[in-house]
Amino acid sequence: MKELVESSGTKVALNEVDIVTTGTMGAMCSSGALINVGHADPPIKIEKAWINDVPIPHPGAAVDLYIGGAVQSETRGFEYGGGHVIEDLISGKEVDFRATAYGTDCYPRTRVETTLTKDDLNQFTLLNFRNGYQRYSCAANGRDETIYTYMGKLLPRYRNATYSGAGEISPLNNDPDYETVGLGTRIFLGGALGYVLGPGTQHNPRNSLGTLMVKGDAKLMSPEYIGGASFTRYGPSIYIGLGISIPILNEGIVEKVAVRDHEITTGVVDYGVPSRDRPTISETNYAELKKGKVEINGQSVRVTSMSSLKQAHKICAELKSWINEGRFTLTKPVERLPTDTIVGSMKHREDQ
Amino acid sequence: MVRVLLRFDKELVQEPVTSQIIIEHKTPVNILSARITPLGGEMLAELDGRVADAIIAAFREKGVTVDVSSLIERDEELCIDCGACVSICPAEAFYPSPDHSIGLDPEKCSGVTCGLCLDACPRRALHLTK
Repeated sequence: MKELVESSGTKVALNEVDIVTTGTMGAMCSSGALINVGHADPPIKIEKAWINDVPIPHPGAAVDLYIGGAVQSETRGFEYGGGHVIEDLISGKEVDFRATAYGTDCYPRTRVETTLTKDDLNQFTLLNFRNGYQRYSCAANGRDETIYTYMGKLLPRYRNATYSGAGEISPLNNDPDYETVGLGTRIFLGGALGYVLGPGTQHNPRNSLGTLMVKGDAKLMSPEYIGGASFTRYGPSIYIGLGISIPILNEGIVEKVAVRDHEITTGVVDYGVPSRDRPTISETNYAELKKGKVEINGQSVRVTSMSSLKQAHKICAELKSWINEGRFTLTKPVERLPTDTIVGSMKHREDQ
Repeated sequence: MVRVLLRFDKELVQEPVTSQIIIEHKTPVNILSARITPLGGEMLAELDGRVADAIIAAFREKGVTVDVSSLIERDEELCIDCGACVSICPAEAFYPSPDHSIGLDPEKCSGVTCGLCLDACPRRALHLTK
């Protein structure tokens, strides 16, 4: 599509193309899965629960739990976390489940221990509160020592850099005014069908940093598109494969999906500065990033992707084949994503 | 050139083994990287292909463990081709391929004398050959 617009113009592209598929697969910490484990006999109102020694928060009724993708194991630390639990369950593996409770008149049981597979769960719903970041900063490190971050391992004195996101094929970059993507949009999520629930947390449209909240039936997902991750000295996370189809409704949308990597700019940020407002040391774009070199202080520095471009392209192709085979139909959003919200900082006392 | 990983134990690190072999066999040994402590060490070296078999035999005769296999293994099931290993590797053993997968040239890897990529891989797909 992008080449077609460049060679033949928007009018031809509008006539020739009906849908453009987009995709991305990166580590998205604000992801997890809602599970219902069913009632025991006698029943238990779970207070604390663990799967494979990963604490599983209990935010609701007796046996509803949320597996947080970034929660670490109590025995294996950062090497295993909620993301790995979700991957193991999706792969059909058996997991160790235990729970404790204080016991009530209606839920007398105080402990339970068992093994579970995804078939034993009433619901296993991937429910991610921030996915699909439109673009992201490129990370480097100006300190004299190696640091370990959620953007990976950063060598001292800007000896390497990392970035995330699929650039011109990433979903929201192709619909920057959120004209076709919104509440109710059917999407590709983890190899199965999913839906957009609205803007994700920290949705920041004014700075082209939109995000999505999404859900999908994890029982139908594939470990090819969902995977646990371990970031050394940072913690566990989860890789999420996400794809969105964009209907080419008018020439305006053609112009937007024609976006190229060199037009998607981002800053190189010094993660060596332990402050919220880390300094931006240079400007770059996704064309440079994908070529593998970025300029920092006049030096050419090797830059690496933390998200999988190969998987992002695969998701675009997979979603295209679903549409061609009639297995995926497009939906009109019930409500569009906001374009004017802002992201605030934490309010805290200056002396803390 | 043939790339070999030489492992020296506690006793052997006291001896000038490599120098002796260079002198005795009148052959160059190109030392790529080394990590030696009083408790033992590893050295990655390149040998002239025409005499490599004789040199390897000579090192083994002196008690050095010689490993000629690939120094790094990647679990292809775990790897998702993100690229976290690419810019971290000083030997440029990892590279992005035209199909967006991450290629690995094990010949370039410095193995145990480096190991920078091991804890940079979020999928823990990289392991040194034992």
